[in-house]
Amino acid sequence: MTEFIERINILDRQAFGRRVMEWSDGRMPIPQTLDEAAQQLEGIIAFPLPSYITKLNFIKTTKEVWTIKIPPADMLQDTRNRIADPNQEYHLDPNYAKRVRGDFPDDLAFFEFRVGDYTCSLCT
Amino acid sequence: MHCPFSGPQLTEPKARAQDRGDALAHRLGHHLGRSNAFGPAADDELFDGYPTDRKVVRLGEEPDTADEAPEAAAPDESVGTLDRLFRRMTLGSRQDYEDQHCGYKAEDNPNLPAGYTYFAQLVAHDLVAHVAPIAHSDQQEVRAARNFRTQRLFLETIYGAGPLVTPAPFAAPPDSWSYVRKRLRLGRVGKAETGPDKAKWGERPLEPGFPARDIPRASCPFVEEVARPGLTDTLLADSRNDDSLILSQMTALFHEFHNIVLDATAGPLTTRSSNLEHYEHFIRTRKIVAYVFRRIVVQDLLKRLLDTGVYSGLETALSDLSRGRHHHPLFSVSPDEQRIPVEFSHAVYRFAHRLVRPNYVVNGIQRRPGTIYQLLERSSARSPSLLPLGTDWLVDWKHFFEIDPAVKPNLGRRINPQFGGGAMAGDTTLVVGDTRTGHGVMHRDLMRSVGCGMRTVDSLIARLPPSDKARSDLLGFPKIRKRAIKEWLLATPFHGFERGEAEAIAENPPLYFFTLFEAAMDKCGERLGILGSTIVAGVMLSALRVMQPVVEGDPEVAAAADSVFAGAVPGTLPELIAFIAGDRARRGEPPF
Repeated sequence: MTEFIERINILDRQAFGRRVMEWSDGRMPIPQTLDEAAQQLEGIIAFPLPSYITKLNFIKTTKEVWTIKIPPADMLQDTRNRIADPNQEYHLDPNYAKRVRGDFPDDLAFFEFRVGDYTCSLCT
Repeated sequence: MHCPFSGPQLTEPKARAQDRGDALAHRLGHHLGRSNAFGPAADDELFDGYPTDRKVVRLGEEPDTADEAPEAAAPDESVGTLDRLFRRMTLGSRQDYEDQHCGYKAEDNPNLPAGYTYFAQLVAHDLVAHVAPIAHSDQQEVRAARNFRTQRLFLETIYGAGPLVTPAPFAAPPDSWSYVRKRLRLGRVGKAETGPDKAKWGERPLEPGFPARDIPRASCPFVEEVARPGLTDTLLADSRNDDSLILSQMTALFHEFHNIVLDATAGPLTTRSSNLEHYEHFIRTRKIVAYVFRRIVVQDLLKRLLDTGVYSGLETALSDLSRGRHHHPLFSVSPDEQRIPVEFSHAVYRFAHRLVRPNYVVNGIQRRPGTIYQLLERSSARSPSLLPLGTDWLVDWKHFFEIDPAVKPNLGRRINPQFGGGAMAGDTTLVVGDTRTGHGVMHRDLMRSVGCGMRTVDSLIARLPPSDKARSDLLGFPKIRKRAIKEWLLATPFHGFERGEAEAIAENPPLYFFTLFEAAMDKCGERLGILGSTIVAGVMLSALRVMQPVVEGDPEVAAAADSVFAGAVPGTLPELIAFIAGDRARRGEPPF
């Protein structure tokens, strides 16, 4: 039986997106430690994080820098393994279906959700 | 005194407001606020904001004049004290994680399986029905604010004013002999949204032969507006009961329960019986259902929610009530009091929003827990195109209550003030949040708890019995209380408070915040503290008194209930669900 890599449990991608925006424009200081991140992400990310996570790395960039974040190979392979397993699913957040249905009433809210989804999922 | 968090009317000097005779605090106090559980409030016992020399406007608000604009303020400095308190409540803290007070680390509340969150909401809907958003204090309709619930805790939220005045939730009789509607409608369900037999994308066909397990819904083709796909309307007495999947499923459960009792008490009635006989049958049924509902409110919900000492006092008061004595020293609510105190409706009982989880295991069919967003959007108001409800979204109650020893139910959250930044705090779309501020329902809870003639926490504590204050250092010793609040406020470096603000909040905390704080400090977040419990118990006792003579006070109701339930009248939600499951089995239907 394949063992999958435990993922960060994002409780609320939209709320995470709002917090990222606060880090971006300086309304909230960027956490320097995992403990500080836990304090700022109460109710947004489930803590404790998977035990393999021991460090924190924020990449604050500017529009002048073309930033391409290379996802870790083992996480990409893990997702491929999940897709190949009939008992697993390639999970898309239900907000995407909601958007397609036309039931997402607020573009700003959907934008917040996308920022949250793209920022913390390692593209995997 | 300038009030940095309120609209223009609230910022008026109190003397001028009194002169005008209609300032918000006094106006609302007249309707709601002064009818609180602790008797009339003097002006210095009402929450009056925080002193500040700063010119402050709230986030998202335009200053009325150039003088009110913050001077070259950084973004953080454009918010008021309460906004900063709210932000602190969305953060965790080192103190929380170091577990200094209660010995718990997990957010889950072992005392409150998640179903109680939504039963508490149903109870709230049976206590309060009014239309004025008190947060918007300058609106004209606030002047007419009142509670339209008169027969409280008699399930008006299910029955409305009965089948003659509120016919929508009642099924039309099957023949023309009687026009009395007495059976509550249930809604048919659709094919599963996922799985091998799922409906095609964009279509929501019914699942043939599946028992009706949803609330009744409809989409009327004979009205003028542009048709939307799905079921846009509920056929309920109180459409607030379609606020989320779990609440609507619980409402459907009570509809089904009513129908079971109706069938069990039909006796010799036939379709040829008189309309009066049928109507009396409906009334008998309603009383039995309400009798069970009220037992569950007291023996299950309140027993779990309240401080044990306060609950014991409530039991004694109810026992006295059954003997015709309408007084108990713990609670000073007037027996004929029909109104709901704002301390309850706009502060203490808002604690229940804190119980909401970010996700729930809905049943054994869904492959992953449903998010709170998914549960909220399965309502006619928000996403009618998702309705009729798919069979794969029907709630299996063993995931919400302690029913099956082999299944660990979803648990509600602990009651504490660090509620985090999730949907209830920040979402402005699914919950009725304030789009101007970008905050969600819990922000509204905090703001409303200070803007409508609310008593101060100190003045409420002062009215508690000395024996109760002696049971809590937080209540008995103001210095300990204020130090504990201040320590918590400053326990994270990201709090953002300005000089003196934490002290001001600790000196005079908003009641909503203190309700959560007291529960966390004194009860490990598992139940309300003594002050919160006393206010809830007082309101519940007052509400129970209203219909006590025709429910518990009527010996025929208790006798009929004993007969229907063979002497085992449900007193808890698991017992009620087991009873309904047994009846489903008898009818050859799946139990869940």
